[in-house]
Amino acid sequence: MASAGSGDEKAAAAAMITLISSDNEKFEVTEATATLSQTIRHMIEDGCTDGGVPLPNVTSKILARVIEYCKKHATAAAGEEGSSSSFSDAAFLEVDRAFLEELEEFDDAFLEVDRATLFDLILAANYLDIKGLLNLTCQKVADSVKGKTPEQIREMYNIVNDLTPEEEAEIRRETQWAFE
Amino acid sequence: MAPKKRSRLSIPPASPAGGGANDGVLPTDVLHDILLRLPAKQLCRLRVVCRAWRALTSDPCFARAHTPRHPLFAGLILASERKELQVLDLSGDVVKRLRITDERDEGDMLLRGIPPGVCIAWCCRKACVLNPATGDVTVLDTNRLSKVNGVFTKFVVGRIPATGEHKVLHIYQDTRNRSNDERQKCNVTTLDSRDHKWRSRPGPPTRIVWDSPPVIGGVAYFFVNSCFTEDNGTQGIASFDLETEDWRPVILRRSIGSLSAIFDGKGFYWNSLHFAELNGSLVIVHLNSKNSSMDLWFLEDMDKNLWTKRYSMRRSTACGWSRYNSYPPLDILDGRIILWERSEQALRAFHPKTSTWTELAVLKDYSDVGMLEGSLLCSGL
Repeated sequence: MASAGSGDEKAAAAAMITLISSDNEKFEVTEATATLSQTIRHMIEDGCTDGGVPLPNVTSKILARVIEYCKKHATAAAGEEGSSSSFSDAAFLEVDRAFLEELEEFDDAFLEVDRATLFDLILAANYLDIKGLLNLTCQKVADSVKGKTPEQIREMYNIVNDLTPEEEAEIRRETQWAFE
Repeated sequence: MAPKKRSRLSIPPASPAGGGANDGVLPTDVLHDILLRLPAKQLCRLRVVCRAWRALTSDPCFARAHTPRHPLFAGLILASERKELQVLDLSGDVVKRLRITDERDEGDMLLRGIPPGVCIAWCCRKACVLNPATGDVTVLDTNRLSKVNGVFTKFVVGRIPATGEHKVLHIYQDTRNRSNDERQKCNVTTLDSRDHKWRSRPGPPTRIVWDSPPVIGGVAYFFVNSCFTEDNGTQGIASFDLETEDWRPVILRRSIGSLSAIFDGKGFYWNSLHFAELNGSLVIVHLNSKNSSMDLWFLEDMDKNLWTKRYSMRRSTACGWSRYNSYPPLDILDGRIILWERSEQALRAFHPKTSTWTELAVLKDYSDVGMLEGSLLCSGL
């Protein structure tokens, strides 16, 4: 039973998927990497990935970053399964911890991008339905919003204030406590 | 095969501009996800960013999703120079202050537990009901009798799910004259009504324990005073339905499993039982001073009288539980049980998996600390 299972996994891991960016660049990735995206996972399940998966909303620049993220986290997911099923002694826990730390460092470095790229990554993660990446990038935006004034936020995100002065005064009155 | 695949792929395009340029460039559902990560105070400030942000952060659905992710506590300060209710976050920072202004009656501050629901504090034998979102304080004057010394009084507030109304149950007992009629009596009022007129209701079927009852699904649960039950092997549970404004029949809970230990008092230690509401379930909190344990029994089925012990917490004997300093747990958050310990003025979290404790915050000067239900974002919740 075990050998049959691992054989299937190996076959799945070896299967390659071609992703095609909006600017027509092709990326070959393993199925394990690609299926971090729920959107692509459903396509594979429906058997409609022959000839490549066109991603008309994702540019090659962003897709390359997304794949970088998925590769790293796909390895992490595989590592977790392996260690939890077979070993649980201290040495392996130590390895796990080191790996998690490495993953955290990777995520931190991954987020060192300008705002436009961060937003593109969010849009791609949302479109491709990659939960971990969406969570990571959304948290980054939330952290950058924390402690900012409404004026700073409008400026950061090019938001036009469409409230009338009366409406704005009304909001400030209603939630006066929050401005204290 | 190929054309089918392509058409499927182009179906879910990420709407690039979301609800318009005013959302930044993010779709509304992503913006929703991001804003849910921010604390209520900042969200209120960010309402002046633009209309879309105001609409999103004022939406009751958004507020309902926000509340469990950012639990808030209410701490009551009853110093002579300052009486206020402070809304606190998990790290103990004060988010909002609500002044309790009605101080005409400087009597003793009988205060036990801030019940769930709309925040209510009872001081000076009056109920001060505070709406955490608007900061409105409503003072509910009870009848004159309850202001007399020797008259015990208790307020319970709860929301009725079917109507969304909040009602206050007032129970009082005149103990001035022992030969007198000492039965507990009840009044009910509807919070949302204009005049807050009290309606006289029948007293409990048998005498209840003066503890802070949880209100779940519009029903308040009390323990029956064991001196008034026939059989020492049972524990009575009385419940008051705020919707029908009537008491339900008393349930006798047979001592099941290790709960029987409660009645097995040997030596100089005590057992005590309290009710709590955790994640919407009725929970019996069993404190045992002998082994410094606190067990949490969750009600599985009221008809079958089925309770399950899901958590057992231990403290070192040096700082064991005590009847006076250990409050029923406030919340279960990310699998941790949150507890306020009065004597140590600390908000602590217990991790069931590792049986370890973490101190979340030091909460000084509070007479009482409870969970704040409802939302700072939306007054009607």
